[in-house]
Amino acid sequence: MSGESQNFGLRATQLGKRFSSKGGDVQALENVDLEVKQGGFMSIIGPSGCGKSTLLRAFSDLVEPSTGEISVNGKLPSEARAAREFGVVFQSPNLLPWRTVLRNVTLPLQVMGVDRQSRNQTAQEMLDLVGLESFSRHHPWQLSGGMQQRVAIARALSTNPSVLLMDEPFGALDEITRDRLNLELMRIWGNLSATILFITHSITEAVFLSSQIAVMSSRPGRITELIDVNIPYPRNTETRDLPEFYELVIEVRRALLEASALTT
Amino acid sequence: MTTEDAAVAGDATDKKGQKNLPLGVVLTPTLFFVAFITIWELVVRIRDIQVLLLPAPSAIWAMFLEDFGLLVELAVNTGIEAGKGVLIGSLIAIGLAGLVHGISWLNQGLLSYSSTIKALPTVALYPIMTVFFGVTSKAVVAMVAVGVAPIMFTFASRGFSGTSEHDELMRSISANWRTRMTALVLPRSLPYVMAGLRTAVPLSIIISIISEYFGGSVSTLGAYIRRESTLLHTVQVWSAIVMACILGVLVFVAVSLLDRYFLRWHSSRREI
Repeated sequence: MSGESQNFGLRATQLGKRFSSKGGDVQALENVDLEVKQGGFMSIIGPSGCGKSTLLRAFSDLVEPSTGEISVNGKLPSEARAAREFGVVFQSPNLLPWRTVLRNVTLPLQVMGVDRQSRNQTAQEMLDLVGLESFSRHHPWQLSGGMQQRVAIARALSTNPSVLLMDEPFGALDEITRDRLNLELMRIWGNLSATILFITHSITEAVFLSSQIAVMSSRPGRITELIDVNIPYPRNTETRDLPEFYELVIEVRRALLEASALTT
Repeated sequence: MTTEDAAVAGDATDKKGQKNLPLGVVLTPTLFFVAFITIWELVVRIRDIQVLLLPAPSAIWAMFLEDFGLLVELAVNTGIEAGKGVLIGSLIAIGLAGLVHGISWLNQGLLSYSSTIKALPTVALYPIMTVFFGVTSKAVVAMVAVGVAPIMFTFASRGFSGTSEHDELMRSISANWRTRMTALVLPRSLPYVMAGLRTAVPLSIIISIISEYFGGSVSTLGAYIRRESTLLHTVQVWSAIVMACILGVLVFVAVSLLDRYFLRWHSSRREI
């Protein structure tokens, strides 16, 4: 990798992914160019089945791209995964039901071979960060969906990754919980310097969180528009009342409509 | 949903029933039992039925108390044989399921065999076992292992075959094979293994006693029942049957307690 790509937390160049099956091939991604600066917050928004998740899974080394180049902190995703440079938050909390909250958060540290005492300490700090310090001994089923997803975020942060890949983490939650967790995520992100790639269906969520929004169209999945969100951080509850916020929501909605018009 | 999945979740409905009807679950069977014993006792006394044919419950109970020490010893020996058989059969079955999991064609082949064997009267193989092991407790242990292994294989194989988002999680954190096994695959298969044991353990007692009946080591329940019945000691036979029932209930309770302990995180065993 060249020296200039070091400045990018995430970078995809002419990325393509084709899935082959008996029913025929599906072009999930085509000519995707994406650059997220280190410390940037990029949201990807698009209709269902547009390949947003495939893009995130390519960055997290869960699918192999068919064409093009992709890098995380200037490294191949497989190298970045081995070096534990990114954490993944899945659509569902994806907690191990037989482990307590604390032992779910320590799992990545256990894999790294961190000794028990320091991994418990780190996990407890992470639980403090997501506001669940008193739930470390609970089992996942004793927690609400929103709390479970906060545990998943704590787990993803436990290895102190410089990149966080979040695949519609709040998609299954009600709007009130989602708004609260968005605020929470802004607070957490303010304390870190992580690059975040965030997949979402929600326009307001994307505008509230991101420094930049990529709008995707489906079949084949392509990025049709990049929208900068020039609302200064830190963002809080008042952010949602700003006129710029409304203007951006309208702009993203227009871009989404245009993107879906391309396919239908 | 396969039968194995249904068996894993099976406890949930039972338990809910218990919570809603604590009185009915305890009271109805008790009344039923008392009524049954009373009628039995009365019929034997009024019709003056010979002891050889059908002894009265009071006579069986008296004999049970008299021979209690001996019966406990017999039950312990039978229980040990059954336990060894379950242990050996389960270890082989779970080990095999672990080895072939991921090799789809081999797994499928073994699954169809284990399903077929489950349907066969494996106890009929006991004479073959005595050819291999002699008329010893080893033959009984081997018979139990053979009877239990196909059940445990089906359940363990089902438990290992599951994939979920957890596998992607394990990959995303670059977990090695050992962590994947201990943190994910084994705990995930535990509900299936426990469901298998709930079937296999009571069955192991039945297989032991029948095998012993056809010739096993002398101081076991099955051998005792056979010897006493040829001597026409009907009361002794009945008291051994009572002990066999108690043994069956005890092992079932033991497995249920283990189940509740190991699966306290499982959705069907939640207690708030």
